[in-house]
Amino acid sequence: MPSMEVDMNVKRTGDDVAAMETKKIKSVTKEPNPTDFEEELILLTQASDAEKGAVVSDDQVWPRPEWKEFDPQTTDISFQQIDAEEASVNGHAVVRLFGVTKEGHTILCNIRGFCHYFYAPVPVGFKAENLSTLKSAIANTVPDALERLEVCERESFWGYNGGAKAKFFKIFATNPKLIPKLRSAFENGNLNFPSSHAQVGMLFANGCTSFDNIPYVLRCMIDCHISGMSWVTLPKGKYTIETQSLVSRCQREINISYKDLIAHPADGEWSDIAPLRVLSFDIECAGRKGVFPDPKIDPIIQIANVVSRQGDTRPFVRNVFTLNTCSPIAGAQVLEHESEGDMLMRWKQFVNEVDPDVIIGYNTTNFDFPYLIDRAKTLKLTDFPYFGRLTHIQNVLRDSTFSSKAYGTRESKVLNIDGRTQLDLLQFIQREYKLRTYTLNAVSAHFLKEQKEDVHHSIITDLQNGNADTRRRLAVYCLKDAYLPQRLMDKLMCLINYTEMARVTGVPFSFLLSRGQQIKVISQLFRKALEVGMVIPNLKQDGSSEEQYEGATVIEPERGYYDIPIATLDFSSLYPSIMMAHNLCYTTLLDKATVERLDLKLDEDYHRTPNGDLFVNQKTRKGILPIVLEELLSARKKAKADLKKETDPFKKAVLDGRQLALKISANSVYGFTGATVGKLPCLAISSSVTAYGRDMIQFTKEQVENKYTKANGYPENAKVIYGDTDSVMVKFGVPDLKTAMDMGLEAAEYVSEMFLKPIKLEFEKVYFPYLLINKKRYAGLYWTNPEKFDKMDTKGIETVRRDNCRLVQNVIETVLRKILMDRDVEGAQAYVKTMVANLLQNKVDLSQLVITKQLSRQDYAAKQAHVELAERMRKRDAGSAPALGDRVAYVIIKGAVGGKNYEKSEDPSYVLENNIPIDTKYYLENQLQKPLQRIFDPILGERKSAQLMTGAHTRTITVAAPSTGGLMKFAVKTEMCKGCRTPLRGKWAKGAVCENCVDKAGALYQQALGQLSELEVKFGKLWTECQRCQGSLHQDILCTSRDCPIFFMRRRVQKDIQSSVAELSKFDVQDW
Amino acid sequence: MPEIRSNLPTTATSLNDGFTLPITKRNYNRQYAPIYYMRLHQLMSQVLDAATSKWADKNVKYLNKCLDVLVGDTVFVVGTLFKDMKYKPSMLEEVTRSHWGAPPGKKPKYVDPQGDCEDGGHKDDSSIQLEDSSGRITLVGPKVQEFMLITGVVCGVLGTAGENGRFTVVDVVWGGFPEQIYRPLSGVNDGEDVEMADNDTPEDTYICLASGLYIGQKKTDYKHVLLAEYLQGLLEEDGAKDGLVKPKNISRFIMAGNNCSLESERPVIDTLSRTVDLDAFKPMARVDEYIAQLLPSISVDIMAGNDDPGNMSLPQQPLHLSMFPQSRKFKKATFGSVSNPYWWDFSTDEAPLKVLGTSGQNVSDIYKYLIEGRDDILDIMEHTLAWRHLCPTAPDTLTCYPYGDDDPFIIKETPHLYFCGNQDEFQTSVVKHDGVSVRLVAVPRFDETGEVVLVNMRTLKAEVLRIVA
Repeated sequence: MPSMEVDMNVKRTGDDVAAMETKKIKSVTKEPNPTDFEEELILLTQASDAEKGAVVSDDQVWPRPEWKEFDPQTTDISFQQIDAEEASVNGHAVVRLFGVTKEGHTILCNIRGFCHYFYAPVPVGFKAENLSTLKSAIANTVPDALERLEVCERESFWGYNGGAKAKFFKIFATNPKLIPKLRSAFENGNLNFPSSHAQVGMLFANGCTSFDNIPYVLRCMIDCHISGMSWVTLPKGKYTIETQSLVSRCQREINISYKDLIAHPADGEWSDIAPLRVLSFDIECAGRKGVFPDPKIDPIIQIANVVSRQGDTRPFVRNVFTLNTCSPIAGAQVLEHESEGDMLMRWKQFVNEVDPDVIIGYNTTNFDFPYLIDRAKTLKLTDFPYFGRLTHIQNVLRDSTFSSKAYGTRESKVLNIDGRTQLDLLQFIQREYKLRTYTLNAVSAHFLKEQKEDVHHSIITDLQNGNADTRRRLAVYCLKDAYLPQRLMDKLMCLINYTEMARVTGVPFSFLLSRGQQIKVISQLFRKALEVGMVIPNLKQDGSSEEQYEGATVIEPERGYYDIPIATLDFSSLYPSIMMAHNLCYTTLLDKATVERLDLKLDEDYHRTPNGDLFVNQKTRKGILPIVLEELLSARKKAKADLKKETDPFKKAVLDGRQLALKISANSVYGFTGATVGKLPCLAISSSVTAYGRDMIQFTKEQVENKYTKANGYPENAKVIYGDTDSVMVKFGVPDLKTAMDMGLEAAEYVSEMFLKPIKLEFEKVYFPYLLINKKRYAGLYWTNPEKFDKMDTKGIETVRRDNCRLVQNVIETVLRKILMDRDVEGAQAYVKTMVANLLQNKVDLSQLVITKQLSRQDYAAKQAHVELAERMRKRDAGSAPALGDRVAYVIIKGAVGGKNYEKSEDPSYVLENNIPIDTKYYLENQLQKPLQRIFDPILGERKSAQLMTGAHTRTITVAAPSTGGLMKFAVKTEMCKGCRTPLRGKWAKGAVCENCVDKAGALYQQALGQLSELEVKFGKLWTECQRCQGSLHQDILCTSRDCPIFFMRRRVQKDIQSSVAELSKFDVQDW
Repeated sequence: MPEIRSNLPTTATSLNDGFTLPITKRNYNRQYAPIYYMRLHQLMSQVLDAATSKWADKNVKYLNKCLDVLVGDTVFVVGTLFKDMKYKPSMLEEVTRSHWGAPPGKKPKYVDPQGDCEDGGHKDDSSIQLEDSSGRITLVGPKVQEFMLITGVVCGVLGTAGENGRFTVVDVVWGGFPEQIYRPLSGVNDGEDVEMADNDTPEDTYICLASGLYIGQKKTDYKHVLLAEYLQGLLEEDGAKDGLVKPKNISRFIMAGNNCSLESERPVIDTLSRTVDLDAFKPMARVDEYIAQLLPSISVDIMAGNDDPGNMSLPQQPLHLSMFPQSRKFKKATFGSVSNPYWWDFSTDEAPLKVLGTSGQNVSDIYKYLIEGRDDILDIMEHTLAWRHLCPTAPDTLTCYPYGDDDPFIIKETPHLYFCGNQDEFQTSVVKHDGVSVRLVAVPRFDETGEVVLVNMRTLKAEVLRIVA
């Protein structure tokens, strides 16, 4: 007989577990649980074996291939640099590149001899013989800082000056760290001249604007033409291999002068990506009940790792480090440890041995890494925090606050892991995608279409305290969490897209996650400026961010429901093309004085923008921004053309990543000029751009409406019903799609003719039918060919907004589908009525009512529901309460009369547990009503559409009876007859019907039973679904994933079915 | 005038105990794992016995944890099967499906007929796994196709583990038919075919099995009337041909599911108003009338089916007496509302006779797991006996009550007659195994075929009777 003995060690808590019968279950669940994921692990083993073929398999082999001896005199070395940092070797500043060769060897390359510098204008009256005076003044002010002082001719980036070059000091520092001091001495005019040379000193006394303020590493990369993630060749005979005083774990350390290395633009063979090793990991901690794990107390019990090579389809290392024993897992190594300290140290060794170039994970930046470091500190493992590539550099945790207009403010931790790039998938996804929630479950459900089992951290401890088999279950779960980031990265192509972004903009890879948008534009401007001998002023940030300028124009929409085709004409890349067409740039900006001084002629030499700013024409000087933009856009065109030809899926992905990066870069240039808190704001450019944009939209409207008229022989007078930023919607008045499309195409060409190149109006699509609700709010079927519509397109409607509950989204989606696709307005109204009735009768699933909002800044002026709730949850259980940056899930519950909405928010699981009534009125009036009326108003008219919310269907209301608190304790319930609603008394008191309704009992019974039946089926479907998801029949479901719609439904159905059973049981009181 | 016939006496049997779920005692704060656990636990010893005796000569060892199997070892393991299939309905899909797309059409089968590949393994969309206390292994090999491997079945599997962690199946064993109380077949010698050997005698009594009557449906109303008249003995004059069973010999009429018409299927509860549309429940009143007219002459047992106003999950509880204002007057005499499944014990002093019946959901659900050509209903019925389990696919694809400490669907003894209602056509056979012999009957849907089945209670011979209107 197989062993099925009861294992008393497993004591599990969790809500679900508490709810079930415990005795037998324990014995079943003592054994581990293989899941579909384990299947996958096995497949991975096979695949890694198969791929290698005859070559010896390196499956589960940690170290890198050995780098054989070679002769530096005859061998070029090429590598892809993945990280760059500033360092000091023997007191000299170097730029350290970390890189990987095509063969997968690692290299540390010290770029020597590059001095950091900046520019300062040579004051009028300064003579060549004063140079030595200046030098000594500099030496007096900042001792030992000046390496070299040159005088050269440069042109300022700001403003057109007739192309005249001016004299600049180029001030080289001995050490980049001294640059800020030198710079401020020039800027503030406190250079310390000896009194004997006070006259020269006077020239500098007022300070000046310095030029070219950029970090050392970027400066060096720019001057050496190295862009982020690009390939670099060290030519034979020019470099030396360091053999003494090695500092890193790289296979070779190499020195080279900055003059000798060759940087490659990302073309041809240099567009490849080296076989980078990517480590994806996840840790599990044994937390205590009700408290979030604390590294000072709670141990780390497992660390799962998956390592793959960029370009391979399968990871070649899959293992899990466990505290205590763990049953074997097919397809993965299990490394058991007796003490936590041993496990952490062994893991550190593992990282250094497998030597990843990129470390990824989910929330590693703010959870896994800090926890590892803090835990090691608690355990006094002083040797632990050394898993970077630099042997002697400790990994140190710092706090940082990242603030950006585009991404908002985020607090985060920063851990230096020198030489290894970190990519936290959570941060990546938060940056690039707008989602309802960012938990790993939600994200994998969204991108990978999979629900993930979510084991609550208190249960994790119980599994750990069980036996080798329960720990195995945990290990499989942990491995899955380690593998998911890897799969997400592949699916979203983060590494490839970010690599291309680094290459296009020239910034190091790590900047893309840690810095905002501006640095990318700055990098490009500096590169271009260097090429043309310009210097960029270091503008003082005065912090006045209030300055505003007029944005894009919106043609007032003619709201309504259009049952005829509406053609859409779009300006492609509107803002970049305006800047190109009108030569808008820092370098072309004019002021009146210059116009007069150079005697420039309006229109011939320069032009005035609709905003009143002056810029020189292209023939006078072509601006740098237009050149940068042209290059970006033509590079994009090329990438797109190559993409079409390319067949290799990997290269295709790279090219697609590039064209996307190019597009984003081109669009960010405009924003850069308008960023008033930025490095180089120039509102003359940004407000001119929008002014041109407004004019063009207006102009297009006029042209189209003037040409397409009955008078000109067209079937109807065309009408522009709406226009926004870069598009106009035209109603040509023709009923068929084909004609509308032909006319749209013709109109686009006709109007384009009248604009300066490269501005182009394109005909893209036809909406038919089209529901125009308001500015930036519309919906329609999207047609690009007359045979079949491509999709249903909605803008600004609640389906895509996140601060609404799922119910709103579902109702709106269904309503729009019924109206636009089925053309069934009647059906849509009936549907709305049913849903409203369901809502009021408490039949809507709780998961549909959950609203999520991000907890961002603490200092909200007005009280907000989610902030208040987070505060209340913190009081209840500080450990599980949402933290800053988290999305808070809540529902609105019935509160005191006159209570504020923010007081009525509540945690959905708390609501479920305590049967707290939902404020259905809130959902009706604050969530459903407005979006629905917006849709129905243009179709039905306001009066009729209001009835959707107030009709007879809203008269039946069901409210859940709360199980806690309030008056319920004192209330006496009297049962009512289910037939006639009279109170039941006497011998009928406990039954279902009164004596008058006995005849109807059968029908009433069937009605009650119908509800139970429905619930029974739901119950079965929900719980078996979870059994399938967890991949086991014999084990109880532990998952408490709040992002999975099943979770709330599952709990709700248990409650509902129990009360339905109670109702039904009343029929049994009577003896039939 | 309808004559009053003697009631075929039945004895209450404890076999039905697990099927009764008093409404006040129900507990839904449970999961489904306990059922599977109890199933594996209770069937383990029979499967082990069967395996040990079947593979005694093969010198293979039993491994009580399937995950401990070593590559290349030939062993046998015992566990619960799980079959994953392309068209298995999924709640998650239902809930998360984008509202833009059209809902997927209902498939007649869960399994994809194209999905099975030749090597006996399955494509990604369908796979068979065996789960024991340690975990799951995937079963592969040509033999996988040969056996009826269905979710929830407890079986022993003999095979070899491959490099890839997959288990190549050599042979499979089930628990085998449960024991049976010996019933001497009167007039039949051992080894003789029952069908050939026995002739009906005028003294024989019969039970009439019907299912899918859907009383209240207009198109078959006349057939129903004729059936009722036949059962009451009103048609004897013109139907008294030789060989036709005389109604007076029919002592019990069993309505095995789907008794009530769906015809007035309008929304029972109007969400837009408060009123309950009582007319929507009329069909059940017709069923009551229909039965009530028979009850003076004949015993009638009614069993709930999928489309009846009973609870949806197995075991379906007896249809509630509140719905039978007329028939319930006979509840102590000729009227019985029984659970689905249900055991009848007709044993007499001369011979034991136990009958097991369902209204068909158990076999119909298994049918959806099987590719065409391997989905014979009698074969499925035989397998449920060999598996010792009435409905292994519950709770996975067939809803059932979340039992805490029992799996009442385990078949503890082999019945003498075993029927399943609501099938496409009438089918019958006698299966004999290891001294056990059982009459299987697939009862056709009356509304489509006009057929009912008559079973001779002495010989257990089954014949079909068609009502032609």
